[in-house]
Amino acid sequence: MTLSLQGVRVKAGEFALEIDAEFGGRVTGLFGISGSGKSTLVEIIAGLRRPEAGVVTLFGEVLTDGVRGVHLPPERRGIGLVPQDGALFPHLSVEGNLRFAERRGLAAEKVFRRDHVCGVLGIADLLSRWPATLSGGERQRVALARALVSAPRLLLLDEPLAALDAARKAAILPYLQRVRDEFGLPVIYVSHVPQEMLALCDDMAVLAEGKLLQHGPVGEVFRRPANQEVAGIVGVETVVAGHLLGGEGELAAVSVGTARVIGLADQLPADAHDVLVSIRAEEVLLVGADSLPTISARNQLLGTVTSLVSEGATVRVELDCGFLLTALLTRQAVVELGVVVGSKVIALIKAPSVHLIARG
Amino acid sequence: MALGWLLARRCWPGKALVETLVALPLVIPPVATGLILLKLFGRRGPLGALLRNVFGVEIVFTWKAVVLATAVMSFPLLVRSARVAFEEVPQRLEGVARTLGAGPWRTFFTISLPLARRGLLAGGVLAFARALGEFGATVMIAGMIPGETITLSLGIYHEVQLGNDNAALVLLAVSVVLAFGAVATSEWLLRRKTP
Repeated sequence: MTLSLQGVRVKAGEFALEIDAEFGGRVTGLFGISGSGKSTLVEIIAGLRRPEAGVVTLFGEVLTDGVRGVHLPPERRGIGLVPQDGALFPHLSVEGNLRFAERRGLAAEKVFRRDHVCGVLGIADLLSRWPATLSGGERQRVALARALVSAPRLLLLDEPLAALDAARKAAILPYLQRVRDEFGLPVIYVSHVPQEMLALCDDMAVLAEGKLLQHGPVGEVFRRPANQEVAGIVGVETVVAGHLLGGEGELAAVSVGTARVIGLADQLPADAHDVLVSIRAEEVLLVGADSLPTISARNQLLGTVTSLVSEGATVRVELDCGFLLTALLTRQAVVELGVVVGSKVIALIKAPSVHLIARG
Repeated sequence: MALGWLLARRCWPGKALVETLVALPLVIPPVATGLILLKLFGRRGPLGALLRNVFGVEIVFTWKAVVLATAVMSFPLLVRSARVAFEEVPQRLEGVARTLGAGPWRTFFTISLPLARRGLLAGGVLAFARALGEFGATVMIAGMIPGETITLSLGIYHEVQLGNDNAALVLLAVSVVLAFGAVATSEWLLRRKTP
């Protein structure tokens, strides 16, 4: 396991954090609303805060051991941290910021050399600028570069896009994807935005009120939240990989499994090819397979019901319609439709409810 | 400066007591502070006797007493501004510096200190001004011995007492020039290297 947290405990006033987790994926998302304990956990991993109890290990090396009183200081952990606003040193130029982090003497691997890092992040032209003169997106790229030139063993990104507007976010996501692919570093990505989880992470851990509620592959967590609490935080969504077939104005056709869906393409970059298709379960309508009226919904998918799970007043219906699709229906609707496992139904989804996310 | 940093960033037992002790010279009348120093460092005072017997150093009514009095009086201003200056450095920046491989010392000298520069300088100028104007404590412990323990402020008072208004005016001019120079220097230091 890359990073393991065992019995990590922190108590601060009303707030208590208790975590047991093993993070092994390439990019692990740490998902939670504010106040869920994300930042505290980040500080513990980086070594900026000492937990009252628990053991933290990275690649088998003990970073913190509450019982034996071990606490490796942050400078010896090799964990590159990028906080929300970048936290660039305002009294140093961009180059000065990078120099500060560079490991001297240490034969740093080639990929972490400054020239290479600047190339990947497209900041070679910014070296002589001062942090105060950079845009939000540039600042985050510099902060990312600074963390990388320190040749870390793990990259810890704490809501790196939270301070940016939608356009800047979209512009910086591809850089994050490049960093993920180029440096072969395990990444822990903290955020409360589902789209970022989908675009970047392999696994995700859902955190609420200091507790880990669910941990698994991103698609799995969105499609099958472990309980109602998780469903309330992340929402229930079908998330599947697809292939862009072609566009027509703002609409784009995507092949998913053996099916074909139409979605809105306005958020996609022009050169997108592989995409993630996400469809919120509330936005899927089911009708009986024998009744096919003429309707406006762009997507009409014939499928077979594979499972029914009751969740309070609603029922989570999974159907195979060329890919696994989740729909959220009221209990009453399920009864009226006569849906059971094996029923044939038609799923109706409006194109604007099919969200396409570029995935490099 | 070190004390300012300790007060700003660390929690330690007795912190409140030290804070109060440091602030005392600000609130006690200067003459009273002078009296305390006189009792402590006088020939029969506990510290004075110790210094005289062990090091053979005489404090009271020498130039050393002037240094002591002005130092004690301006110390709180220096410590307070240093503390505020260090508190204003975002702790996140220091934390990030640590994760980038800088130890506590390197973080202090390359991040905390440069970022606290303005506040530290301002504190220094303030403390200098206080030292320049210090009268009460100095006159108690150092007296007013011409050629030995006359400070600018004491000098102005002394000359006016003797009726030498012209000499007093010259000293006044000197103090104005000194003060002006100090403020100008600090302004210049602040502008330099600021993006």
